Amino acid sequence: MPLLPESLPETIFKDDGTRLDGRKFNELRDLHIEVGVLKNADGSALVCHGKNRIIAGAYGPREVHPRHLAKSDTGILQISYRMATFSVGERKSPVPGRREKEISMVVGKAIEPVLFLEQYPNTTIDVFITVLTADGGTRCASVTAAACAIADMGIPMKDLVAGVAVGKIANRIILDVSDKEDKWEKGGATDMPVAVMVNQKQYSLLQLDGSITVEQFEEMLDLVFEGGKLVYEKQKEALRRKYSTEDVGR
Amino acid sequence: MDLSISKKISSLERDYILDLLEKGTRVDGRGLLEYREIKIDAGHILKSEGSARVFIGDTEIDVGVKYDLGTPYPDSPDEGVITCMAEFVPSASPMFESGPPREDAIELARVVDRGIRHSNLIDKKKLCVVPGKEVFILFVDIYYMDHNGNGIDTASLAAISALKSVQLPKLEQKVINEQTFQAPTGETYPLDIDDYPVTITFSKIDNHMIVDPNLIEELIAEARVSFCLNKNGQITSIQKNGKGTFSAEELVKAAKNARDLAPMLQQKVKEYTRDLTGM
Repeated sequence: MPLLPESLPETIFKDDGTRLDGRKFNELRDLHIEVGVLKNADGSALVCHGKNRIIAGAYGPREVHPRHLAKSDTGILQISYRMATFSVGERKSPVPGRREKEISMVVGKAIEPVLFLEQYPNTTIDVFITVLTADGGTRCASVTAAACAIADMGIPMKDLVAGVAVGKIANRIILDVSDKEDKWEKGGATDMPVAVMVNQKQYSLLQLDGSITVEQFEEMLDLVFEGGKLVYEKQKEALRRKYSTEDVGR
Repeated sequence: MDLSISKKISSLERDYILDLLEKGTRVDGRGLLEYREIKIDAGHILKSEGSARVFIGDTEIDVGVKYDLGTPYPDSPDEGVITCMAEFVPSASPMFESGPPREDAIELARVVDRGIRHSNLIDKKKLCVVPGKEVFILFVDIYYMDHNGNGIDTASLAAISALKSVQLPKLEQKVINEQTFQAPTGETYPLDIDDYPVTITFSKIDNHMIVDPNLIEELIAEARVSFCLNKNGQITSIQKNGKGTFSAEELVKAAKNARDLAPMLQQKVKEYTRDLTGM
């Protein structure tokens, strides 16, 4: 017998216009980032974004396995995005699915522009992302985590990359869509996950699923960039917390 | 060894292409926002429920739609299921290899899937046979037959054209040797899709945004972004790929250009559907 599907709230905006969790349209969920959380990895980061819990571990630049993937004129970036079986409501199969493969690819393309891979021929930078709890926007939080893990590794980067989503629910444009908000319209919601390079003013990840006009697209691009700035500040803060020299010698 | 699977572009050829883009034209004389010739026909897929073969220039993609009966998802007991798969046939390009789909094939299938899945394009209730028990599962299978650039636009054009041509069998229960079967009655019905979602992909080559790249343009492009638009000119899906990045201005301009180009592609689908029904 099938399990009863989770029930949805009746309204998604409160009378005063705020969202279910009390946020305004342009507010992020609670975001906490910590770098250096894994002892073995060359760089690592934990991202707690809303209820999302994501750990990224980065290794390299190191020898490529399997060898035939190595490129003689440049290094490569290999991202592996995986969801733990217990990260979602109904247990996820441990076999990597098509969604995970696609997300691994788009996260890789989001991070690659800030690296100087051509400086590391024949090597790879591997980032392993594990989603321990998923609550909407995991690919964005994964970009945030992967960028911090690579920065923690201590290799030169042109910029950090901040991941954040923007959506249109019940015809209103809101920042950082949560799982509940995304599911509320039963597939009718619009979700646009984005990664931004704040200093370069560039978008390195962009996907959309839903239905919007070109004008709304323009509005969403602006709002999500503001969200990216907020994520970027948290990323810098996390890196400073680990590498600050203020306490040294005390 | 590397050469056999990834084509290398000489800097001479690259510079030539960039030089032309600077002047607002392309290797084959097209403008930056001009498609190659587009052709849609039924192709050689005779045993499918619906099909289309689409050429954009020398790129060819065939899509066939097949069905199976299966159990519905518990949260939508009276709705059928649609899935997309893409196969990059090794004969289509020296860059394609046999074996399980690689990430580029998975991405193509998922982008096409998002384009045709959204905005209730297909009334999934029409795919229901016995509520809660049996529904049609539609397989939209994409075969990349000749790879000469712009697979995403070609594939999504082929997928919507094929779906438009689908005729599903009407079924009735039959008991044979005490076993119950669903048997086709011989009658069929279409899916009645009244939208025309099409995908327009922009490739960025050195700050120039072009549509419908040929193979060499595609290979030297730093990044691409695909917009899927419905008949009202609304964006229903977006996908960015490639190691390059875009500015907000570039993206908005591309979205506007996509909105201008969509009716031309939609017209092609309409013509194909009209040819099929003879109306």
